[in-house]
Amino acid sequence: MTQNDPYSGCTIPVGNANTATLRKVLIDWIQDGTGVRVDYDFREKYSGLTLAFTAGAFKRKDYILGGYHAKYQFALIYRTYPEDREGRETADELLTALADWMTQNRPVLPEPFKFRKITQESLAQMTHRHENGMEDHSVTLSLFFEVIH
Amino acid sequence: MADLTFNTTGGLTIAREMLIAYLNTGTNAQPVWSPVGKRVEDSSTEIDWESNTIRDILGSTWGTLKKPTITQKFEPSDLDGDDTALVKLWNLAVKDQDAQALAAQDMLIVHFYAGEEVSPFAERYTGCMIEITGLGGEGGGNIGMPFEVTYGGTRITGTATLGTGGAVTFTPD
Repeated sequence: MTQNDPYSGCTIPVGNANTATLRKVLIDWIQDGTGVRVDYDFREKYSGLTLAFTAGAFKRKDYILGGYHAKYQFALIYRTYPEDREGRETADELLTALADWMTQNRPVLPEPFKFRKITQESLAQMTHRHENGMEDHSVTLSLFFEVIH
Repeated sequence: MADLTFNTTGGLTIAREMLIAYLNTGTNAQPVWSPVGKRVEDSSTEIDWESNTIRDILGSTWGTLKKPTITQKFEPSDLDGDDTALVKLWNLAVKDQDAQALAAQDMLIVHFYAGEEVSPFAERYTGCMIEITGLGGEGGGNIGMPFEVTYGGTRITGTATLGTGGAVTFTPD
């Protein structure tokens, strides 16, 4: 299954500076490391792969020296128009392969963020079917990082 | 010493990171103050005044206090090669098991919220006992080395200043 030609132009969703920064870092990391194109967003009529944060970043621990440990949960979403079951399986296999790669490799985060780990938190599966027959397949992961003072 | 005031905004509480303990990882002649408590979420000094009260034959209650014994726990204290203080303590406790050295550590507590903002109040304890109470952790987690400090030795009050890269300099009164 190949992706349609990428559309021109993209939008960076509104969010706090840290969220936007980390999202871009992860997208660039996936593209550079796997060669798979990841769009910032996609329009209804096009298929493609995007990375979306499912929840805002939140602190899990605050340290007495002023730093913190945080978690960003995000999803890789593959929008496609599968013609058959094999098409759906291919979409899930792509997402699973990307999730495996992400959990086994380390992105370089910009200061002051320090990477700790990425964990996969769901299996790749179809999560939404559009009226026009397009399907969203997704896998959920979490990025854990720290800011140390 | 005259009473000090807090240099923070009145009406607002004071952030925990305005109170930091440092371990001298240098020498007495040229101390290097390394912060203690990286990745520690909760740590407070416990102050024991050895209080005692009596009631005299007139019915009055009198209390006495002694100079306090101050202790503080730091846990879990996950090991980190960049944590100079932990690396020193690991060497003393785990590698060398040097009990005498661990009982004579030089520490500094800086109260960044008290006194002048550029030179806040600080207190140095030249003979602290640092007891490493464990080494390990749960599966899938990190190696932690919790420890407990008993501040001791000669207590010297003064001020602290922050230099380049956060280097702390202590100036005694």
